[in-house]
Amino acid sequence: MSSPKSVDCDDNAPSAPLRVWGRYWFAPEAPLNLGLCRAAFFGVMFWFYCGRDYSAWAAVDDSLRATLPLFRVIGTSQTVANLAIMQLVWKVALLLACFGLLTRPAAILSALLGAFVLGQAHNYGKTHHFDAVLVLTMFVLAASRGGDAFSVDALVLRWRGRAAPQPSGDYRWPVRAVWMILSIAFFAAGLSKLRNGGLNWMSADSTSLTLLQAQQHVANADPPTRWGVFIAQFPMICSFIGIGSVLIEVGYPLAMFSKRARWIFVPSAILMQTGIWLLLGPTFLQFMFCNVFWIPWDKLWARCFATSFATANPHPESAATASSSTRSALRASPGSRKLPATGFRTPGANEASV
Amino acid sequence: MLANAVLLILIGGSTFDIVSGAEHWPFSPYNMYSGGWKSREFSRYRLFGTTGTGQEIELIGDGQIHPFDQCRLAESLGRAIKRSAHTPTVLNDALMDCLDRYEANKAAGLHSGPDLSGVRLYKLTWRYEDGATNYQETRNVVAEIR
Repeated sequence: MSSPKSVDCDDNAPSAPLRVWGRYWFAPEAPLNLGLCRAAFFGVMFWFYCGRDYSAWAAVDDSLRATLPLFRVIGTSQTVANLAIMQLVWKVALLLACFGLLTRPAAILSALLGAFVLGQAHNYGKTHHFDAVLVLTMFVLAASRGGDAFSVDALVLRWRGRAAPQPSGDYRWPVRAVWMILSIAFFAAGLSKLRNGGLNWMSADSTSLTLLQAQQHVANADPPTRWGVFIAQFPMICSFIGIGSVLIEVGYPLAMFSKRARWIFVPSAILMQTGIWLLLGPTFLQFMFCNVFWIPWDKLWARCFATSFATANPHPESAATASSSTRSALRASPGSRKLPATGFRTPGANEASV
Repeated sequence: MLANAVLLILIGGSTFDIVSGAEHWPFSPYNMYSGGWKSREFSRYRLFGTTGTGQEIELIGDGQIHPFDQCRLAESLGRAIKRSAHTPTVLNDALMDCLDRYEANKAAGLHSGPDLSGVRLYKLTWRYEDGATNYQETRNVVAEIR
């Protein structure tokens, strides 16, 4: 005689891996953090790229070209004028996406034109690695609901009487996707060093030669200092730099899952990239723009503006840090357990999440 | 559905490039500076401009070689050298393009370098002494146009 089915044996319940996947990526969150991330990211993008001109790539002779696989499919630019128009439209899209006006179309246009404009330079023999994460981030934001908060679009909807959006996994996964983009980039860099260079990569000799070589105009930009020449004379420091670099890169993905790791690896990576610029020359400033997604903007916003706002936040730690006047606004609403876009039930609002 | 698709594309594309070691921008194995150094000698291609008075100037400034940077131009010229084994005119075309672009950049106000009568492509080799920061530099002419 078979025992009665227990509640835990529901045939339609997702498996354990799917539940973990769903909880990590799609636990309900308020839209404010994503909105602020969107504004900050597109804001710095516009600030950095508004004065830069990529149209000259269209005039470079084919003899210097080494077309990327992506551009063999979509084609390269036609004329300087066309590329100039594309980059102008791209920059306008960045600005619109920053302010959250026509957010979704602006974000989509930013991603598509950004990939085309930024990719131009990589079709000439050398792929630099400081802007690939930006393109991937733009595509994530293009697929997201980043305009539901802190945007002109959201203001217009409120003015028209539309209710504030409820917490949803749709506001969580894009931020974490950018965490993942950064984590993959750093981890891949560390893995490449171990795979291609082996343990020798971390040796004092290898690091000192890298520091010396940088003085010969070999990177995309010259180091602004000659500290590398000085440091190259000290094997212990060179070893520390080599080992530390690999540890930071390989360990970086831990920041996706641990708050403590976030405090260690994210600032360490920023310092490492700053050190790379100072000692070797390669400029990773654009790469660092994605770090805005690590900042819990909604918590900072709550601290700075301790007035009630309509959006509920289900995270217990958010409620603990917010001022008392905002706690009622931040308490999870009864509707926070709604089915997210993934189609399977997310964990409850009070479950612990990273 | 869309979110899961985006996530899987990010994971899949990145994993493919990391495992294969190939670059499919914007996915990448991020293998810059990954080789490590096993020798104290290394080489790079470097473009120099030549003036009518026989003076040589190193073309590494962004304004001089815009939109290239010094690293990208060296790599690009290196590829042109390899391709010239099958297509002899490629390197000449590349050097001519560099010279034309130098003049166009000067006309656009991106730099104020001297007028050039030609360009010369060198292969520079640096050899560092053991435990020292000083080095020896040698230059070998690869190609030039006037």
